[in-house]
Amino acid sequence: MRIKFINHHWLILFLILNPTLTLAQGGVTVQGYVRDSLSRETLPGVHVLSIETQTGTITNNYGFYSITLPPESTQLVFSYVGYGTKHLYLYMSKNLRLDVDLQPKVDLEIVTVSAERPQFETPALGAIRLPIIQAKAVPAVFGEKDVMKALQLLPGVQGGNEGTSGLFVRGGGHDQNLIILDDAIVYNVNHLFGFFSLFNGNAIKDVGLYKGGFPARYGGRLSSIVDITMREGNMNKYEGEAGIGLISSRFSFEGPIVKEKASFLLSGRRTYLDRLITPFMPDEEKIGYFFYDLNAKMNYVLNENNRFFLSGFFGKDKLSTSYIEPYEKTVGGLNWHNALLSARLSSILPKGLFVNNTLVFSQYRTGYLLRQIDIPSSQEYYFNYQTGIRDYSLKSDFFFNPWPFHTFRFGGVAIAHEFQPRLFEIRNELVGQYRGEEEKQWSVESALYAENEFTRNQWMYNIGFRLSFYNTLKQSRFKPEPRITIGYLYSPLGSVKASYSEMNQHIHLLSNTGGSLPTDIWLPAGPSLLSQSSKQFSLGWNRRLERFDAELTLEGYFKQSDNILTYRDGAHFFFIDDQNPSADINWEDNVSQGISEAFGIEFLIHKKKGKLNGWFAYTWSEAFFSFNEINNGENYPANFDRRHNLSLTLSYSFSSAFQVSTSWVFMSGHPITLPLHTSQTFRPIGFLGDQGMEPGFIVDYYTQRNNYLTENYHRLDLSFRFIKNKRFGDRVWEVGVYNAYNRMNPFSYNLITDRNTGQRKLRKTTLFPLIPSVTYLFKF
Amino acid sequence: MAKRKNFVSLILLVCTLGFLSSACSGLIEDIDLSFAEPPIVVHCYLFPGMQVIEISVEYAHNIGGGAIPSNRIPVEDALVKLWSEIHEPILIPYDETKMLFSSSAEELTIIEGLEYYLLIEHHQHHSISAKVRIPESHNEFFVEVSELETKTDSRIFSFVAWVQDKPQEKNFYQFFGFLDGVRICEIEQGIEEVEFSYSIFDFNPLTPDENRDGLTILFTSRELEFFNSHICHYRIDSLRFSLAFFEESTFFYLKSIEDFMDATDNPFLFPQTPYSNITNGVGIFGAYSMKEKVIYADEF
Repeated sequence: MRIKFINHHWLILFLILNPTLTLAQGGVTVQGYVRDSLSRETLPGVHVLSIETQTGTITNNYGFYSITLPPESTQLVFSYVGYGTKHLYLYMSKNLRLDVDLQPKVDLEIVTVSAERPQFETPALGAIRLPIIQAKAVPAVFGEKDVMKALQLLPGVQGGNEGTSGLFVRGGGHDQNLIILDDAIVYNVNHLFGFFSLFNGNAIKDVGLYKGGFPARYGGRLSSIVDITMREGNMNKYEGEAGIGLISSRFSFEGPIVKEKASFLLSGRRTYLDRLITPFMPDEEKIGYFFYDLNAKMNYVLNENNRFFLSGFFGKDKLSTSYIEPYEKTVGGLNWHNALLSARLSSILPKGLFVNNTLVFSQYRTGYLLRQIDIPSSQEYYFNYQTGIRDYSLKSDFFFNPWPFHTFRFGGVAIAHEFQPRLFEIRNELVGQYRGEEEKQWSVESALYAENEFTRNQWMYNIGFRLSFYNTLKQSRFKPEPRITIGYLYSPLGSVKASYSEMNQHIHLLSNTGGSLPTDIWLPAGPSLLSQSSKQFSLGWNRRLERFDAELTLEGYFKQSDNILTYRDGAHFFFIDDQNPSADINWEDNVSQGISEAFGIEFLIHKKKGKLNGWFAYTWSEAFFSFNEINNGENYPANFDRRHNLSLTLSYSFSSAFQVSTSWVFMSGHPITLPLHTSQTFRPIGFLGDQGMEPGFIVDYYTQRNNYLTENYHRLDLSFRFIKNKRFGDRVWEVGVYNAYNRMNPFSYNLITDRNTGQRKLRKTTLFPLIPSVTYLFKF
Repeated sequence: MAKRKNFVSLILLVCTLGFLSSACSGLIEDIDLSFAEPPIVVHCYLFPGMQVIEISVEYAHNIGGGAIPSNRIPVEDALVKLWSEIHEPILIPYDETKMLFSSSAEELTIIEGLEYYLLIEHHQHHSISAKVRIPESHNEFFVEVSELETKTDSRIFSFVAWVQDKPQEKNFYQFFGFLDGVRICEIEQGIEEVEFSYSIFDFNPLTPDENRDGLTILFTSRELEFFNSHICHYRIDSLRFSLAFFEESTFFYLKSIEDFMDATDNPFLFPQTPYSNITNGVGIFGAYSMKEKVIYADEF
């Protein structure tokens, strides 16, 4: 089924901008920041409710709220996960600036996740805000808590291979997720080939995931938005945390630079497998690996209406290998790094207009080095390969509540992408020296957007429109993106919603894996590689279960994406012919563009408060690819098309000193490409002056792409936290078991040949059997 | 409280020790893939001037079924028919010695420009069919040879070859070169002369003329080493070049086999499945024509 383009852009613009049509009324506006009363950090996602009107709003990513109400007495309720609810009784005759401090509940992070239940609905559909406390409670391999792994447990989201951090959202690829850390785009979220993500839980304040019903303020990717906000640091006192784990240690330190005026946060991690293991390896065979990352953030309150933020991230992974044989020495290395820097000025302008102006630098680079030395002759083969992307962006976001029941957002963004598709150097006896450098490519991606979120009686709307521009030296493109979400509150506890979104993606990732390898290359859309685009319909039903303090959600979706990419059969990931490196192999020759269709149903029960909290998620989904040049043009299942996904994540606080968390995951198998048959071939020999044919190579036959279904995956993880309050801070022992019942889940499948018999077998490799872990943390 | 902590710690310890022993084993498991029905693989190449038509019709092996692929399993009881636009179908009999279906080409001559049809019937399978047109060769094929360097034990030649091919048409080539000469050795009884033929470039790449501009350059250079000694030396009589004009499917098939071999065990290459023009089977019903140029020693 093809979705026809909805050509009602002008109607949507009209709905956004015409206040008469939307029955706007005059009122007074209450606005300000909501902060943690102890650290003075702003709090995103706080529910602000007017009891009289039963309308409300949610603080934005910067902790700012603005609500316009009729000029009369009102009671405002501020509630947030883990904080005591605050009730304020106000008589409002004129606009009011009201900064609100919320008190964290005692032993918040240790005892329980609690919050007053919000009393109102927003039209958001396909959006999940995961409390960072819950994300950090999810058990993880080696005890390394990971936000991305927690996101993988939500409905509609799948991980890639065992243990990796990739997200495959509603049938999309891992390149189709816009992952933002403090407004900076993160191009590779992986440490250790994806077993850990870049995101250090100690430095994160808030995580939001959008899978559909995308607000117009987000764009640039087809499948999901993961918006992560870093903490800002305590404005009042110095605090720190240090942890020692099995394979890494971490620290974080924060405090005021000028009390109540400016603060900082520093947080870092480093693995030490290389230091522990490499010295004990024989000289003939050494492998070393490490990663480190550092988060830093500074914020400065310039005055009541202006705040300045500077945040940065730097992380690097490096794998090195060295093999010495009698006649040959091989040294290799693989590395990748991310660097992000963003500077933001948040201002409250007259008339209650809130604006964020942000400057962002983002860089991702990866490289591969190989040196083979023939010891007797000292001849050397040298191969060095690098690729990367660098962004410079400027962004302005406005937030405005001019009338009751309306929230306007509008703004623009411009991103200059600098692509370095490939830079490589080959030196060997055959080709001499060759240095190839693909010319750097520039593209500019920009957008203007406007959205109006409003309520009228039982109806809720978010009508948005985004104009996406894309420019390279060779072309310019203009793409309108309508975004509509409509909800109806059929009872105080339940609502139904529907949404339609169009998205465009102007950059491509050529990848053959679910993880991160130097073979993954970011490329701009061009005349021959068109921008990807998608259209998504979703329908949802929401119901609050008062008895259990939980929320139940059922959503269905249908998504169609155009111009998605995959490698053609036999494509070379490096685009280099080793024997003839100067040969011009264009990436356009290596890839094919086609369409994908995905549909599914997602079910979620989410309990955010109480001693027992967590969620249960189930997804039924299907996703297909179709490429003219692949599989004879016939549909085939998408790479991570898992039919059934189920997860149960629970956390229970027995006391202030003991907490247990568990998660159980079930995923049905996903398709991979395997040859199922093999045969002798025959080649012609007539041109050699002979007759007939002779036996040639033995080849394998792949009946089609993604033709083999892997076995089901399931796993139980457990985590136990023992907390002791000491005079100088808390001491926490965390004992965890990953894959508690030792299920041999598949990590990879390889065809192997028995050296003695010549027989071939399919070999399944399990990476993580039962893995116990112990982590020691102390907070001061 | 202390009792509860001890109890939990004990459970953890027991679980950890119990599972650790089994966790460290069994990380690798071999899986049987022999469930899938193997396809029938067909190989046949037709070219003008061929004397014996040979058609291989065999079962593929299931990977993981324990079979060794080089052990052939011919579909002996298949009915194999071949015909052309102007020839009536002939039945190709099975030859047990060759383990192929084989017949003299006198009954069905192979002619440039004609389309040929293959039909294979077997009671356990759907009919297998394929067709191919014999490509037309042409004489606009040129070779220039120059000797770059002469040493006592080797000679280095540079070859430039090009084809004035058909504009607007996609042509597919493979270029072959042979050196014919005589090895002359002094032996006790006198002088021994042995003729030899040396393949210069039978691995020259399969070349399509992508731009269809009517000209395709086939270029190569090669160092020929003969290790002349005081006992033996080599005399080069001629260089013989041949150009294969491939039918499109045949070219795609041979190229996909090359790509398959390149991709094998190479983690940086996406898997390649061999191309096929066989309906209800795999393999190739291929065709090509040949053109030859000979350059004698006194010409270079």
